Amino acid sequence: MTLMGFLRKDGSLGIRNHLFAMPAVVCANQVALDEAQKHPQIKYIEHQHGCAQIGADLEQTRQVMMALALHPNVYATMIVGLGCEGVIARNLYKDARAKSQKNVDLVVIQESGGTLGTENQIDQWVSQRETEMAPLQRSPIQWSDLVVGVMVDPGLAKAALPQSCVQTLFEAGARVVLPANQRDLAASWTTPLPTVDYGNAAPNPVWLMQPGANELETATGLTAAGAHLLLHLTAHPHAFGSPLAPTVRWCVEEPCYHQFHGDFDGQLQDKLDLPRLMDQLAHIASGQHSVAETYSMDDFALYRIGPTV
Amino acid sequence: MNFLGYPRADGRIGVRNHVLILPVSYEMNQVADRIARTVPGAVTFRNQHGLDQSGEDLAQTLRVYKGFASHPNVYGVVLLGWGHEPFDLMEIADAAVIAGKPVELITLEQVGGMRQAIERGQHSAKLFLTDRDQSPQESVPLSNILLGTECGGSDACSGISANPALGVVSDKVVAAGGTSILSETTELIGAEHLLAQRAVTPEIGAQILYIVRRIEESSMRMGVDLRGAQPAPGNIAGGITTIEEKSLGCIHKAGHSPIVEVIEYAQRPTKSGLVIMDTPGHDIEQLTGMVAGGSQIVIFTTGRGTPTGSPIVPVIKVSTNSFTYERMRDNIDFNAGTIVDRVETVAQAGERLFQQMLDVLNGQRTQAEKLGHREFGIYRIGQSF
Repeated sequence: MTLMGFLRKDGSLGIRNHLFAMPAVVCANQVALDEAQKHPQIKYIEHQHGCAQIGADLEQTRQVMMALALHPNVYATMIVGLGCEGVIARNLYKDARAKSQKNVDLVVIQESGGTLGTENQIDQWVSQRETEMAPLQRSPIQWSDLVVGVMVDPGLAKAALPQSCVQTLFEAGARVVLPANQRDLAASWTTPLPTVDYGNAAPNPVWLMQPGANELETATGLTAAGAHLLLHLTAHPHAFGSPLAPTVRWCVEEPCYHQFHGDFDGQLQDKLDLPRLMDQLAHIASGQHSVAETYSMDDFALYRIGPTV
Repeated sequence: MNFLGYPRADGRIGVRNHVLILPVSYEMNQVADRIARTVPGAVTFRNQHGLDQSGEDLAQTLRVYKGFASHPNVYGVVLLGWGHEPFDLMEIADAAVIAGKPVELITLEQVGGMRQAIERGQHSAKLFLTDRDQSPQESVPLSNILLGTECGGSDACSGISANPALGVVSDKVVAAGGTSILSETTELIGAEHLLAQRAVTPEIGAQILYIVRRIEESSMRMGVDLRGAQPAPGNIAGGITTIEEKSLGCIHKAGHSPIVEVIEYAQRPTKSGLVIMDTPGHDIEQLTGMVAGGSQIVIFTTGRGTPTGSPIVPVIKVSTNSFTYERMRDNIDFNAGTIVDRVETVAQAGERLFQQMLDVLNGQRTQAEKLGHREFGIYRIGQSF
């Protein structure tokens, strides 16, 4: 099938047109949460970071937030700051604007009359951005325009079928980012693969990213690395997804799939399932919702490399 | 001095009567959220922890879960687990049962998937919400109160208005036989010698010096000298020049009472009086630690203005200056800027704040409660470096 996506004015390409409310600090969570309840089309994250962080840990948090604000599946981002946070929302906003033509806006709670005043400003932002977005249409894109993040249960990386998945995505033309602790997924590669820090991208067709300390942190990292889609292969039911990258979850074990089929997008039994998987990924890339999207299982956890102070 | 509270089976007193949807790992956040959204009155929070943890770090996280599950402000708990957490879910459930609470434990694995988990959780939450209305309230003495004190977004006024006023309240709670917690170790740096002198024994004094040294060494390992990295940018914009100045203002929150105990993050005090809990300066991780330690109420002073609150504990926000109070009326409960404006003395403002605390203990809702604030964050001590 033909893949359909959104071409952006900055030359990037998205498979969703998200409005993204991003708190730069834990103190701004409630504003994002309230707004997402009021306007269910808003994507948001809720987290405990952005303050009392130091050194490399603070810098990594800043970089991940920047990458999410500029994510290709986002049409417009509203950065929500409190006004005294360590990440400094205003700097994040300025740097994002300097770096990209993405629609990035800023609201600061301490300068907007508190929670409700800030929410009024975001209401106006939503209606303005929605008016702009209304006429936008999808146009044909290629697999080569897309980055797919793949993650699997520990131990599955050595299995033949997940490796074939990665190979099939690569052969279709997609770029693939893998957690560095699952490099076996790319076992068939003869050339060395670059390994980058958590949440970072590389220009290569296939690259490895330092994973988080748990699966949700890794999903956040793959999203920040620019993955348009996440493919999660697992033998367990899960209830999380990325807010920005549609998360597609296939089960690799028959009994588990049988019991929890409603929580999965499909079952991967053998190589004959791969065309069906690729076809579904193409449909989801073109706008069909994955199970995680249907349930709005948008979640976020950030990999921290230093203590809170 | 008495207030109207909910006596619990473990002898503690609640000042609220919440039904808590408690996700013990991130796997259940979305299930928890769907339940809380569809069952008005239930409360929850977002949790990014609970998997791939071990050792002391896991033990600390479990202390937080048990502290929330058994908290006196909680009537009943819907405990949500994935089924593959690296700890015994029954241990958390037992903590709530021992505290006399109805508990429903639901795991994604056992219940058969997300839809079933949501439906089961909705059912139990509704049941608990109906039953909680039968909880009797009694007039009980203030000695039952564990007050958490906090400051965040400090400015040049913090140490002369809101913090000393909170110090008056803290001393009154202690004088009534209650307990007050001073925390945020990072913001004791430079004032630790003064606090050590107030310890009731030399050992407790040494513990105070130890926890300050520990947090400094922890940040040194990140290659950052905290004495150079603090105050935060927002504090500097608010007129604070050095970390010592910030700390000297910070400790005014704790009044003048002697320090009877030093406890770890999220631990319950074993003594009445003024205690120090070792927490980071991070507003929400500190708040979560004090709540898990059993604080039924928190008073939070702020110079720059903060909207935050807890899912299960009323948080009274006190501005240090009138400008911030006027600017963030949605979020601030009390203006101590009157002291700077010379309308009130510290003693007068402290008395007024004490009265407001009694009102809140008796059920008056704080701004953060009205807005539904539910911030939550666990202090992690085992990050992968």
